[in-house]
Amino acid sequence: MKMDHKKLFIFSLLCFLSVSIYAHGVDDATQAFLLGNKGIAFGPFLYIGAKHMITGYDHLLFLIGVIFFLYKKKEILIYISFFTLGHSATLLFGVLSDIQMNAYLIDAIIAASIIYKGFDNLGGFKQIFGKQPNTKVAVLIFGLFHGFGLATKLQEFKFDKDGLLVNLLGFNLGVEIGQFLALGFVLILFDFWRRHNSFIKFSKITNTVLMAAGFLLLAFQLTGYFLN
Amino acid sequence: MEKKNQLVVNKKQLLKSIVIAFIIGGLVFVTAVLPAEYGKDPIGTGKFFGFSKLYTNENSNQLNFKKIEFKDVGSPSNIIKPLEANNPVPVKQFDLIQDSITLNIPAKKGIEYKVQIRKYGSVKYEWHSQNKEIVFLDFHGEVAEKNPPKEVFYESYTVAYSNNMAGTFTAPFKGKHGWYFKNLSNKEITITIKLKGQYKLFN
Repeated sequence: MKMDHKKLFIFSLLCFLSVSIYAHGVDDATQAFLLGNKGIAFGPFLYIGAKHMITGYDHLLFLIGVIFFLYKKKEILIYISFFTLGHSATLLFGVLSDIQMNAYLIDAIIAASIIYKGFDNLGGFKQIFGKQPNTKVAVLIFGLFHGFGLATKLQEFKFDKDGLLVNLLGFNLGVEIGQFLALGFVLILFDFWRRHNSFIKFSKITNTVLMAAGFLLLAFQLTGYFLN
Repeated sequence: MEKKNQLVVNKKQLLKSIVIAFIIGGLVFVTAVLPAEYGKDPIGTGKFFGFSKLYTNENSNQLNFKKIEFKDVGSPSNIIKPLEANNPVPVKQFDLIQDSITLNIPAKKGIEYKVQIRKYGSVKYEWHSQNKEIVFLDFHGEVAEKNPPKEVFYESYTVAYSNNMAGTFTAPFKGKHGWYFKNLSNKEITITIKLKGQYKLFN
């Protein structure tokens, strides 16, 4: 375990270097590729999926909220599996059956999922409603919405439908890889932070900030919806 | 068994957290995100901090313009080309000069800029919009006529959407040749044209 620290450090450093959070969505170069692509392109779609996840701060904020109070590896694995199950199902279903959704509304729901998780982490449901909804089911349901968000992003580009399934699986796998890398980085940070008292002390502030980010994104997406 | 390090927050603190989160989110949204992303500046912070400069109108950045077709090129087919277009090539062209012209095109408006060129006079040109905004343009020429009709004939050399273009132009007839630029965005656009060749400016 001790020896692993150096490795972990390098790993986290690499993660950090590769994360350039500048915009959510698909950037110009990627867009050019998507529009010009013909046929099967597993590798590029895998890359786009991973990049989308690593630079997609709304997905990441939600995941940070989800794992915030999860200390056991097994629990983290279960929750992330539920999330993965949810978003993979709707990503594949949404693109294959060509279901078009309003990107702003889907992203607004994703923003709401961040508010929900911050609220949940503060024990809001017990305090106000006197009842805790099943958190695993909630993660699954929000996973479904995140998947529709991913599907909508990919569908915004009228890319070639040849080799769609393979490309889609590549994109989906990329999403999981991106999620794994980003989560790995967050977990390493949390692992260090949790050893200090400041983790619990600041957890109220952290989750308040999480909710604030959720409110901000919600306002951003709803404004986009009403203006367009 | 499940020892959770859940934090304990009472109802009052919880409500406080929600209110604070809502205010922070709302404040950042109104002061920064709204001006930068949507070009709306309700309390003037976008202008004060310069966030508004980040806003670019979607029209000016995306290439989703309508397709340009034959019917968009030149004057309507019922207007015939004046006979003056067949006049002989002059012995002498305009003297070689060069200029740099700056045009300010108001939002949603179009502006024409033309120079005089004699038949077969050659002019090098380049133009660009200052902040790379894409404009609609029609590079065209009108034949010099003794008695021009109400609706004049013009020939389009290039009709396009672009933010920059350069080339050499040899006039097919004596007359006014130049550009019509249309600003499609909600903001003023500055265009700089550079010319070098056998032409004369209108003054």
